[in-house]
Amino acid sequence: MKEKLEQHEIELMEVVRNKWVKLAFDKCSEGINKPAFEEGIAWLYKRFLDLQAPQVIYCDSMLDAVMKITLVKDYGKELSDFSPKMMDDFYNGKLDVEFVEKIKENYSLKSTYIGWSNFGWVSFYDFFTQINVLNHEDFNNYQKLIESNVFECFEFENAVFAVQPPMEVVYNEALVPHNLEGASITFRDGSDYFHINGFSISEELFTKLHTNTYTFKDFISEDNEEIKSAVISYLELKNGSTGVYDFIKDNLKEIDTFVDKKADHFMEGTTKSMNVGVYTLFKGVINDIDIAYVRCYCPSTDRMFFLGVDPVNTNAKDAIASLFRVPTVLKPNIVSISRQGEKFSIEFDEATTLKLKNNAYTHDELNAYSSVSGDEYFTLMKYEF
Amino acid sequence: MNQVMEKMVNVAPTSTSGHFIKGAKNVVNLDAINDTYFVDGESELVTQNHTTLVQDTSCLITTQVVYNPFAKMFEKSKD
Repeated sequence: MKEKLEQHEIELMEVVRNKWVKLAFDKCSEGINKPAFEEGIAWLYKRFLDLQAPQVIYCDSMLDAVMKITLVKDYGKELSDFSPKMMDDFYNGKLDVEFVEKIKENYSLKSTYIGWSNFGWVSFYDFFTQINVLNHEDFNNYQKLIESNVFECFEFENAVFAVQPPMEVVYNEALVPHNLEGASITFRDGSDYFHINGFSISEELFTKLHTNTYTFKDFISEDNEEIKSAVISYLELKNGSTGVYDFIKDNLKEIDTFVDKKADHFMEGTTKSMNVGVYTLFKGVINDIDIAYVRCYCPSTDRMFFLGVDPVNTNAKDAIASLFRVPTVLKPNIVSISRQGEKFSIEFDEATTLKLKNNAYTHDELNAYSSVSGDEYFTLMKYEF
Repeated sequence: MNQVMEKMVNVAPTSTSGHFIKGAKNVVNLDAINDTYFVDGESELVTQNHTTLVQDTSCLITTQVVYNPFAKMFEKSKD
């Protein structure tokens, strides 16, 4: 058994990875390799189902496929009964409610083993095939089917609905969909999707950002922190750091900054950016309402977040700590705190852990929470990802 | 030998991507409203966009809150 990779094999890892990334993001415009797909699906049906090769219906998008499936499967219609106008009617809310419900249900019929979602693990075994650790005939045939670049697939006994990959994917250096100027993913039927650094946002939000009509009030009304972070990313990438400053300057004033410089071993797994552990408190007034936010950075991705805090806070250290909550009855027995995004993982002393395991606390005790001071929080904090 | 849970448990069911406990002996939901869970045994906390957090002892999972200035109250942070 091979125990160590040679240098050329280590270098091959990136080559194999890039082959699959290129297949998805650059070769998608070529569409499905139909001969490869039809050969692959015929092999699969024969090899594992002992069935004849199915009829293949190529579809321009997921909606195109599911609409055709719904017509044939649930309404006994023919494929020829489908008209592109039905797509417009779907988007304009003109289709029968029951038909739309069936369409939504039928999305769940998509295959889990044919389509882009398999690129990750197939590329992994592709690498081991290329360095001669594996040579499995079934896997090799399956890989050819996946390499046909089919985006998604719906299989039935006599027919498969093969969804074409997007016509175009705009992506960034991190190899995730990203476009500040328009759609990042466009399908052949014209449906498109918008992403900022891989994070999906609605077309409505993108249009507001792109036309500079997104307001600070829109921002503080947004209750999803990831969407707020995507907005900040957009402003920063579009106009530099002054873009963010210009966005907040009329409403927020910088009050205080706290820097929690961590020991090197707690930085493993983070970006190791200078931003890790930097917290800044901002305060302001909008529509006569006092507002306060702590700006901080995700240690895993360096994305900027503005988290709402109670305006009574006077310093960044206590302000960020005030967002941590623990059942009050357990608070004196905390050994350490770690965090991953908005989730905290709290370790307690042995006696408290045993009582938790034995269900020794009442419901009321476990549902009464309190926060900790900034000093307590940062003394107890270990890993932040 | 203790049995290890094969399936992952989502401890952030209202999150878009979820945060999943992997490898624990048991996961108990203590507060469904605030998404507080007791995780028995060693585990990993796994999610998109963040590094996996390895937890080598039992732990309690709680959720960050944020302040809503319009409602003048704290609410569970969403992502």
